[in-house]
Amino acid sequence: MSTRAPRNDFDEFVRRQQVSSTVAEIDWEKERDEWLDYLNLLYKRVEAFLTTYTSSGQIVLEYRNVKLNEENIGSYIARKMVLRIGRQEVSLVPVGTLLIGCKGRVDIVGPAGKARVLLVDSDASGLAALVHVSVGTGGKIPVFAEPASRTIKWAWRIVTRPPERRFVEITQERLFDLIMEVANG
Amino acid sequence: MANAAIVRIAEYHNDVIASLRLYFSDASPSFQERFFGRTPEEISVELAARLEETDLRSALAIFSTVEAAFRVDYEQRCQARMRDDLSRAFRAMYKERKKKVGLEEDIFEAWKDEWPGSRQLIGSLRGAFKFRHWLAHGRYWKPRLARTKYDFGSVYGLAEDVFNSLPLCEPD
Repeated sequence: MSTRAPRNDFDEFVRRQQVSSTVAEIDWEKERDEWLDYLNLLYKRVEAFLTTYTSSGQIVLEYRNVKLNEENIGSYIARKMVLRIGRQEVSLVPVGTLLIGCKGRVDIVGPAGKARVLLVDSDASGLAALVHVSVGTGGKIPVFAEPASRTIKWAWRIVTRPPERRFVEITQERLFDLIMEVANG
Repeated sequence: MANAAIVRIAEYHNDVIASLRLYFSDASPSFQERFFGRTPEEISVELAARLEETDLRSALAIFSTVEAAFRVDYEQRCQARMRDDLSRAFRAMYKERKKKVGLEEDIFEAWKDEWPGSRQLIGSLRGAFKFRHWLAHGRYWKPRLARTKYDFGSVYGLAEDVFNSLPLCEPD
């Protein structure tokens, strides 16, 4: 049987499939619980914005369990908020916490569309503030600046439409606009 | 040896596939911006859709090359006054309709009838061209295909068989 050295590509592929020590050190249960806590905070905020309508019975608010499944975390139950406004139904659907560039996402889904609410760094004003692209000139490889180590304070934000893609705070007025947008188009 | 044009399409196809895989990976400089707020599963689904679309578009490019090769061959045989049965049949068509001949009902049929041993290959081509029509004309109906799945690989293989087995005349 041949014992020749494995091909570099295959070697690299196998290496990437191993659980790295960094990944193994992350407390995934804690990550999940933090995300679910932030999800509850969002729901409380939405409930507060809608109090006038829910107390009068014009909007019926209820929660339904949804099963999420994420790599490393596994499957778990989260709550989906359902708003019944007459014949219309608008849902706040939790998507997960292992996302590119942010800590959580909730999709606001209605018959006319979908909008996104993201759990992002509260100091960031928009996508441009989070994304750094380094360009090498004169054939030189770009030098990547290491991000300064700091504790991130997470906050729920609405992302405005391209090209601005700014992160804006969720106010009552903005939430109402989003609900109308996904409900009526 | 495969036709140079389909080899170029395959090389282009492979480059696009490799580029898409890189673009959808975290090694891409624009990965964070492009996929911000997305789950790994959503990214995988989008990549799969892009790869499938690329596969279809590359298959369509192969079909175009095959069609062009048959039409060029038709004109060459008509102009060169070759004495084989296929060329005679083409010249008879040309007298009546010049270049206004159908690829499948005229050119493919002539090959099948007049070129010994081409019947099976032309049959496979006709089946594959139903897929080509679906691809090229908006994909708004469900095609009734001879085989369940055509993709770039199978269409490329068929084109390679055509170029390797049929003596298609090229421009001088």
